[in-house]
Amino acid sequence: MKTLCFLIALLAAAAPHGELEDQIRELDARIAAEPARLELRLRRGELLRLHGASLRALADFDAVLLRDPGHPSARFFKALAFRDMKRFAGARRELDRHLARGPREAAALRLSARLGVEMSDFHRACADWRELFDLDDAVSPDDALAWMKAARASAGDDDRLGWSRALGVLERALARLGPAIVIEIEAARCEARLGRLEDLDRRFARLTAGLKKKDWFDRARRAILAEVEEGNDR
Amino acid sequence: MTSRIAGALILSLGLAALLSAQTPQIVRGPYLQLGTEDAISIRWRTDVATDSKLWWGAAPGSLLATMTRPGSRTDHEIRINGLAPRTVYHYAVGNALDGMLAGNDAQHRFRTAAVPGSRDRLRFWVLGDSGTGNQDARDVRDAYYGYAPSVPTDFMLMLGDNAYNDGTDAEYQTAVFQNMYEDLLRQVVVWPAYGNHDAHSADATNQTGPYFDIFSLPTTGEAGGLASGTEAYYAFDQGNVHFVVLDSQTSDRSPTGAMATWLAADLATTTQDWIVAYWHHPPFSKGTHDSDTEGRLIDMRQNILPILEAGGVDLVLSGHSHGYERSMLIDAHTGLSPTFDVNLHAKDAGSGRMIEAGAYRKPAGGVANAGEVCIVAGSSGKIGAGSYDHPVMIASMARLGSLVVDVLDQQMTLRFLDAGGQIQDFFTLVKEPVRPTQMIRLPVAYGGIWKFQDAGVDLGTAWRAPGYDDSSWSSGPAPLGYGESWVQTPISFGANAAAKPPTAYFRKSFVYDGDPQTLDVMHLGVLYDDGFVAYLNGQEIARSDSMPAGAVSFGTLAASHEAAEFELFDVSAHKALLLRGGNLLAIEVHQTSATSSDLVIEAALLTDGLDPVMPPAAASSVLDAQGRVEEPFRIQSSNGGYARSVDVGLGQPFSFSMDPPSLSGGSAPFTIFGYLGTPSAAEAFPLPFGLGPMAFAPAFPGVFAPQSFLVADNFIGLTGALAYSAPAPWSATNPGLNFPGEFSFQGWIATGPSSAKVFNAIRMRVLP
Repeated sequence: MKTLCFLIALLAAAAPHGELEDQIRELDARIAAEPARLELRLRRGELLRLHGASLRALADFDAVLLRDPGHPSARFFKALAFRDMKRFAGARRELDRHLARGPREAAALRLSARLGVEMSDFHRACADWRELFDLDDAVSPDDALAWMKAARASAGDDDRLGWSRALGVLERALARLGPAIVIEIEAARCEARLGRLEDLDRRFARLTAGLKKKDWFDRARRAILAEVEEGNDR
Repeated sequence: MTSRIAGALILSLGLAALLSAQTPQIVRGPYLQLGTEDAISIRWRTDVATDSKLWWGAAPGSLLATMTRPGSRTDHEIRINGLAPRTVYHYAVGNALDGMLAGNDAQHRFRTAAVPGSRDRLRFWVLGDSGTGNQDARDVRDAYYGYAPSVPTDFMLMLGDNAYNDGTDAEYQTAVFQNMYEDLLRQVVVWPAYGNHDAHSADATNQTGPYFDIFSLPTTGEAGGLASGTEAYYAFDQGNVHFVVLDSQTSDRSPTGAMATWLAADLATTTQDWIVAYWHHPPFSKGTHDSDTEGRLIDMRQNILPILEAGGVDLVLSGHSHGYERSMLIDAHTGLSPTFDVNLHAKDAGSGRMIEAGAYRKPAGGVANAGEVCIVAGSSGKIGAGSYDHPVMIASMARLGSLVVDVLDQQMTLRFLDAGGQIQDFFTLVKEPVRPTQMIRLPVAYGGIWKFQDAGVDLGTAWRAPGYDDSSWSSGPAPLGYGESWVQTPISFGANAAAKPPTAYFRKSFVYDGDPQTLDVMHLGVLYDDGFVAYLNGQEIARSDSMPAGAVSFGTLAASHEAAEFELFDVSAHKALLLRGGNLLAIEVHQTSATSSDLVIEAALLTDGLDPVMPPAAASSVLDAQGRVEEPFRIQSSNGGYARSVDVGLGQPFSFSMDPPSLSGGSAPFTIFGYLGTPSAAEAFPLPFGLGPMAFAPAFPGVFAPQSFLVADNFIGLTGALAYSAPAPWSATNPGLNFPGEFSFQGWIATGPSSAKVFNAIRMRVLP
């Protein structure tokens, strides 16, 4: 198993055609006819979860685990279902058991990091994000922003340490993602908070080089500086 | 010795057979990605792993440039840079050992994109939810392939759910690459959006899975726009259009999320004339999905649409709902459908059709909150039931089809083409003020008077020349032909309906008083049945696809083609044939068989500009009680009667009259086009020629009012709606025009969302 994504794809390939409800109905019939085929039950559980029927989804995942306690992905899906239901402790338990048994793939690490934030375990979240960004799998600006927020939160009341950690995360993300604009702006915000205004100006100069319309960046720069001013006032 | 030779021979043959058996086969593509003005990526898949090699050049047989990627793989991708803008290249793909496996022929070619900001004509094809891989999808495809094929497709958009049911690689093979769009995909770039079914097998958070494996999408702004840092949402430029492609499925849709922040910055920095945004889940729909109740649809409407509107978006495309729904020009409607207030949220509540209430007009320059048209086009592979009654929509229907979009400078025209090849909806967006370079000149206007020879005699080729004596030919206004109730001038097909002549001849002399050297573009607009060849001053300039290649003669038969709408043929390559002064446009029209029931021709020659104002495809003429075509528009002719075409002298008074059409109430769209001549000075006329006293109320509201008839350029092409409340005959005498020119007048009455009745066209020439 390279990633869970490919497992999902494999399951999807076995699925009948039709809209979500139709697919679930068709799977009902196929599972009744072939109760031993766990991938059908897993597929139905995931479709039920996507459809918002988390309890029924959990029943399917449990049924898979009942027949195959070492199933490679059922606990991951179960963790997803628990998280959908805001039962974070349950999600953490299932996810840790999933992560403990094999390769630490991106989807599970991302889920673990998000759970860390939701459970205010920011150090765990940051460790997961760091591990995720070290993998070969692609990451997104959303990942970077979530990691940045966790990094800030992990510093507790030490505001300066928080912004410094956040900037470190963003520089790491820029190295991975290229000059994604949303990351650049957040990095500029960190620089402003840290008083590194020359760095901030250099960053904006680089971002606007060659642009015919720079108003948005000018406004963003002013807004960032105003935020700092307000922060200082407080 | 002999046996040794025989053994070696057998060994050689065996080795050759083995090698032959191992020759890789291309099982996907080639297809094109990430096309810009100077670079493109070419991808293909082989059944066994090999290295990758690409050949390219100006023509098949001379692919002199090559690039090789060492290492073995089955999914190949080579990106070439340093190409010239808007240039056709041919190519071939293969590997170093086996050489070319595909290409080096006329079919394997691409044209690089126009330089961003340039205002070349663009045509793009839009598919939504096309991924069924079934006959419905193929019918939609074939309808597009058969639609005006003489206009090249520049690129394709896919609005998500590109491969049902789960977006697997195998499903992509049958829904996109095999027996589906492969012919077009080897010639144009496809720019996809990510749908919920694609997400069954792919993950936008880490950009893995078939959707992200199959498509190469920009992340660092390499195709225009700002770097998004992800393939899940991105931007690109084509010509003077900026496209933003969003992820409505997985990425954070909050107004402060990464996607929204990137979007705001990207829109704020583009300087393109047009902004088109697309994603999968529609902000407005009452089709197979309901935008009042479904979270992703609500998110995109409430959180993302306001950012787009502030950024000056013109067009929003989406799928997901399996039907076609098209809005009026709207702005700032983020609530549930019952909260839509046409007075508050509609910038223009009309249809956007030039033939009805006129095009949607917006200020140029990316002005915020000037209105956008939102379209759900999720019926390229399947349709489904729904109420189809969202109040923002002008047109809603559960019908298979796709969108055909043409952009020319500051005009954008969209057509919904159904699977049967019929245009079911259309509208036009225009940016104002219109640049002078964009204005139409009509050296030959629609509805003009043509000479014709319908005697069924073979005239050879001499008739095409300007000096040919056509004084004995008959004449009449276009459209000409037989077999259709709306032809203006019936021509003869002889006494035997089962043995109609294969060819009829048409000639139109005209004066062009502009400077042909300054022309940028020249188009021939033709309404025809079944086939035609057109000549300008004796040289061929255009030929319908329904005609065979090579020499044509009196007996040449055409493939069947119905006169459904005007088709534009780009004849710019022949603009040198246009002369200052006298010219001749000659057209031969060919039948598909001796028993064919109809023959039609109408043509206009257009230079430097916009699409012409065209009658609707489904239009029918209004008939009076005697079954004659109603002709409410009249010009008093010099001999006292009414005429379809009159000539007046400079400054000579003339009367223009109108009998209100015999329809009850409503709107009388009115179109004027065609001005040719050079006024001595800029002159302002009320439109048209003092219609103020006319029994219409209000007189020329809306788009007409601010556009007083300023005769400072060689152009007129305006349209507007006349709401009339007290129909009564009207006439007025105009003191005359002091500049030479030719005007055409035509009227339409809208009778439904996609139908109209056409009234006669008239022509007036002011002679120097």
